[in-house]
Amino acid sequence: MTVTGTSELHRLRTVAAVAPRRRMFGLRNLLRAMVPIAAVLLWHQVTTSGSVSTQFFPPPLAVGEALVDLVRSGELTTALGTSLSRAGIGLAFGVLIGIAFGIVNGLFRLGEEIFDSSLQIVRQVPFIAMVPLFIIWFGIGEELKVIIITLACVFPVYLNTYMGVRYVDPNIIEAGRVFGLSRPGIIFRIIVPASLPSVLVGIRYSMGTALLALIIAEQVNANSGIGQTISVAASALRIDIVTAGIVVYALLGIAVDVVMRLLERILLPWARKATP
Amino acid sequence: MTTSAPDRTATPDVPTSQDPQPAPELVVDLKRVDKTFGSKPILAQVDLQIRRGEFVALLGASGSGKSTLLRILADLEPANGGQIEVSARRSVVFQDARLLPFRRVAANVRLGLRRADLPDDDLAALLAEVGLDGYQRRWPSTLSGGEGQRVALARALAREPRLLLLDEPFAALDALTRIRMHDLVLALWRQHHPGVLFITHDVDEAILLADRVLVLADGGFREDVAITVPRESRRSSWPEGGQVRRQLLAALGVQDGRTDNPDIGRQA
Ligand SMILES: Nc1ncnc2c1ncn2[C@@H]1O[C@H](COP(=O)(O)OP(=O)(O)OP(=O)(O)O)[C@@H](O)[C@H]1O
Ligand SMILES: [Mg+2]
Repeated sequence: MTVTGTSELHRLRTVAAVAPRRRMFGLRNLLRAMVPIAAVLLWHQVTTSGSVSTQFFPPPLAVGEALVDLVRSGELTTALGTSLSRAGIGLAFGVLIGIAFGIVNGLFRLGEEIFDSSLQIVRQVPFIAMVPLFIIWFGIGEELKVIIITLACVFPVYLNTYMGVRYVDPNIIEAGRVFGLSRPGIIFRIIVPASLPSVLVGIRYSMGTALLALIIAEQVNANSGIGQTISVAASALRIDIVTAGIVVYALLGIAVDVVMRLLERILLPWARKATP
Repeated sequence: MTTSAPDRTATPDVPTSQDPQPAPELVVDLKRVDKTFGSKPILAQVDLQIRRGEFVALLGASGSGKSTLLRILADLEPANGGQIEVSARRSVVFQDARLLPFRRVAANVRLGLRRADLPDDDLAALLAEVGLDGYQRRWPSTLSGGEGQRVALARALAREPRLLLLDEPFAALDALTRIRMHDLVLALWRQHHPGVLFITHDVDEAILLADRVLVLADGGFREDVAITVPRESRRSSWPEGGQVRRQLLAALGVQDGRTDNPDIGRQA
């Protein structure tokens, strides 16, 4: 084939040899912030123009004030503590169970034969559908909330761990065998670290579902936590506090993302293709 | 598969292969080994003996079973029959580097060893020897293909093996690095005198490095040529050189004058 004219050629991207430092107010971040800022401004505009009732749609400043009040009174800290510990305990159980089953089924044929298909069936049932049954079994106390969150967290971690373990490059396992690693050595020094990226993906999903499950669990019987703050405010028609509660949930979602990025940065330094 | 360590018993200082002295111990002893994949025979009644200090090159067409033989020797593949005895102190360099991506270069070289077995100074010296001075803290994902292969070589040499199995270790390297690696392998071989099984596609590389060149074809060794000329004289032409070359090429199915390679037959 002969290359004629310029039509066959594509100019490819080039980058500066030294990556510029990410700045807080860099162009990128400003661009990213544009849409949310515009949304808040619009929200402010609409709610203060009098065209909608602030009964149903509080202005952003009112929500901000409600948030500040919640923090000042200490209510938010207490509620957040309760909610986070629920989510945390559920997540911890879910992640541990998911990793344990994922590793066992990924490593051992027998484990896979015994458990995998059952887990796949259970997985098909959305955890929300189980809530009424769980209420009958476990009541509406703290156990129920933790169990719902645990159940929601197990599967993302299980599936990703299982896949990660199952698809570790067999060549590096052979290298381990050749260089004299024992079977536990191969499991803990090769298979486990090699599937860690996959496990972390599972944990990231689980943290998302943990939040979702938390919200659902707190709707069932909110005697404490952010869910209670919201439902008390809702019955008092304090729409600003309700919205503030929702904002807190949203902030938790963002926090999950930040935590996961940090975890990946710490645990997977090798996955970044760069010279130290 | 019976894997034993015939070399475990204490032996007196092993002479290099150049001195005709009592034969050193066997590090590979295969008797009538068979291997099939499904119904496809790969190895049939193969006998092979390699002594410590012996440098054996293995040639063969692609798919002739060279890697399979090496994998049997490394206890990564079971044979279907025969008797197999291989030194327990062996290490392997594969066709690909096979480094653990989540360990730095230093930890990869130390794979299966304790830190005390290879102190930092020795590790640094070893890396310098393979031309990777100061690479201890690099991640494998940042290495070039040839650099990765050299880390794999360092890893294989770190445990001072009695048997070194090399599967086309330098296929990915440039000509210059390759020559340096030849010198390095020879230097390390002279120093520690392991038995070496060196798989290559390159007849010249085989002639340059080995005491003995085998050609694998149709499930057996079609050719087994001892090369006694000192290595220093092999780079330039030597009387029987062309003859050995032609003999090996013929065993590989390449006829003199019927090849695209202008180098072939040049010493005739
Ligand atoms: N696990 C396997 N299952 C089935 N066939 C296999 C397997 N491994 C190797 N083979 C076959 O055995 C034959 C020999 O393979 P081997 O890898 O030993 O060749 P080779 O001589 O090393 O070739 P190359 O020079 O290309 O590396 C090939 O035909 C290959 O397809
Ligand atoms: Mg091969």
